[in-house]
Amino acid sequence: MVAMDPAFERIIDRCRDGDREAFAEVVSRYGLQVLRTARLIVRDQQLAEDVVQETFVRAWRRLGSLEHDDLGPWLLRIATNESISAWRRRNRFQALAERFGRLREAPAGPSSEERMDLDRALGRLSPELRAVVVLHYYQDLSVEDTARTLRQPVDTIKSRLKVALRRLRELTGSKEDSNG
Amino acid sequence: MGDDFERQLRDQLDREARQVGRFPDPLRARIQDAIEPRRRLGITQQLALAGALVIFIGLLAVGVAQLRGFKGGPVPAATPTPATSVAPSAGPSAQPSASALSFTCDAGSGGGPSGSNLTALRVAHHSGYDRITFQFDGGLPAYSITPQSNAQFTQDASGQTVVLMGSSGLRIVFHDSSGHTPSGQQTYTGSTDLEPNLPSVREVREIGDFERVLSWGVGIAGSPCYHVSELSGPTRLVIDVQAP
Repeated sequence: MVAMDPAFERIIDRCRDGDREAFAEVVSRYGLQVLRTARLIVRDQQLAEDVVQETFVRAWRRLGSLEHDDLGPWLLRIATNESISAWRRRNRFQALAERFGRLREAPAGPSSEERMDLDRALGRLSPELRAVVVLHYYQDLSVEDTARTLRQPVDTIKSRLKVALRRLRELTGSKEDSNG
Repeated sequence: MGDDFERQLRDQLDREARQVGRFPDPLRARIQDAIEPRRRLGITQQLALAGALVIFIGLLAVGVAQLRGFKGGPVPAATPTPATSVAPSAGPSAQPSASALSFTCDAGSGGGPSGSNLTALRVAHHSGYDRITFQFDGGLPAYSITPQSNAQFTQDASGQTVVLMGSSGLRIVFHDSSGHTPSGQQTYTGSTDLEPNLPSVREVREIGDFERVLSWGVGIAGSPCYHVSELSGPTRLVIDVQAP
């Protein structure tokens, strides 16, 4: 947890009192970080902006129940969950098909001609896996902090990271380091 | 942890994230427009709310006990109960919307010298009020808001009378401002006559843009009472017109 500076704590207090100008400062401070995270998960700028709007509107409504130290991770949690939901809403068919296993890729990974770059491979992950990858590798959160942010058990996060990495390696045709 | 592949992954995510160079101003404006005014409950209001909750739970318990009695079950406590019960009015909701706004029906003014120009105008309905948002490309220009008991306006420069939809109105005048720059480049390209037909705001129309005095008229159904907020990042003047 990172303690906030007193000036920013006062801004949060003003937000709690309904000061929308103060909330604009919260948006300025966290907006870009939240937007980039959402975009990496949903992989679409417009959808990411919708996610960010929903995230901050929810945050505004629930600010009263927030502890000072938790604002950053709290916003990230809202944004991540909202990103996953938004992606699922937009890709209902794909989500349904995944659930019933109809859209299975070749199990052993693509041949050398089919190998894809990381960008496309990331797009093939489920939003849940992508969220974990983004928080851990882009936000540089430890496995424990990722778990705390997503309110998931540490083992679940470890397992998701392992599955995500294996899948990405398969899709890009990368070999695992023998010492890694 | 950290083989070559993981490094590539970090680089890839970083590259992709940096495609979003800055936080978009229109998104900032959307968020500001979407959040409702909210006030923290005072201690008296919190106590009133807690009291109302206790009474409500009490009445609920009595109701359940009565129901048991009708079913023939034992009623251990012979508590006298009212034949009809009216729950006390619960205090203001935790997130009041229109009720949190203090509307005024008097003239108002604000802003200051800025020389900025109008770039956008939005009108939308919210619970209990209709919102008009004027957005500018610089600081908030000096403005005045004048309620009137009819929807009749005199156009600047021409002196012609225009009658907007509605039964009353607001005249909003921005000084040293315009829908275009002094060199003639248009900054506001939206409609100059909006008919959103909302519960309160029926029509919003430009009634003058002459010699750096920009005037808009608002046709209103009902009383021309409003609440004004000045917002930054981007600069906006938000007028919430009380709706029935």
